[in-house]
Amino acid sequence: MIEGVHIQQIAYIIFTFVILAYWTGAFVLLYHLIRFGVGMQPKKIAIIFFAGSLALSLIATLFFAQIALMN
Amino acid sequence: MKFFDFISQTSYSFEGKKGDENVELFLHRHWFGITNKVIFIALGAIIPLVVFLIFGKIIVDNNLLPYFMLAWASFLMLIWFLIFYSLTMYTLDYWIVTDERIIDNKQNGFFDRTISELDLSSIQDIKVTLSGLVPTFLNFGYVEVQTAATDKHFTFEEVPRPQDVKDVIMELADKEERREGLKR
Repeated sequence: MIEGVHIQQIAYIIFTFVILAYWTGAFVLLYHLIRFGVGMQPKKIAIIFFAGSLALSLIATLFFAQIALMN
Repeated sequence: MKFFDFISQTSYSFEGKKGDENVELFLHRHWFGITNKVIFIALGAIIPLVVFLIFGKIIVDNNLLPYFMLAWASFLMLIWFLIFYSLTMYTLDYWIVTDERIIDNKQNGFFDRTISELDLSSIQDIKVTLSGLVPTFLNFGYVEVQTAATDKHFTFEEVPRPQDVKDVIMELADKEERREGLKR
């Protein structure tokens, strides 16, 4: 039981780290597109990337929650 | 929707643009290169599907499906990021031809940008190169602008309709030369 809890905690930490790393990269990418992009195209790309990132993060979080609830 | 106005109200304004300066050409590399890159990365998204087709029975039998789905979703996040990283580098790599100068903005990666500038009045010669089957069919290639200084040149890489780009630059350079002549 203690070992189980321990593994679950490690899994939480890894997942949190992955999501944080992704959103740090996403922030840098969005910053470049909005700050240095010329014209409308970079802004449109930024919005599509942001929407897709939100959706994929949500899906990954739901799968993670499912595993957490299973245990 | 005032919040989203920045999407529709942006014109070809850029850092350091002079008030009376007009943008004549705004060029990116041809879409062929970036399309190939994006398709290649996107094809990576089917790797987990192939893994599932091969090891699906083992995954299901050992009750590993939720873990597999989580790994797939995380992998898709990575693919999504790589696709947009490529698109960002493509978008931020551009050439601007104004009625006064040429600006080359090269994005080498995150926080790594090179901006060079050339006065239209210093242009001596322009060379157009279309080399290979695909560039000839799709009409994209290199435009090399030679300046008065023998060792200094400026290259537009894989730009669409390079012949038209050359014509526009030559015309603008002629206009600039005449204007400079009138000033003297």
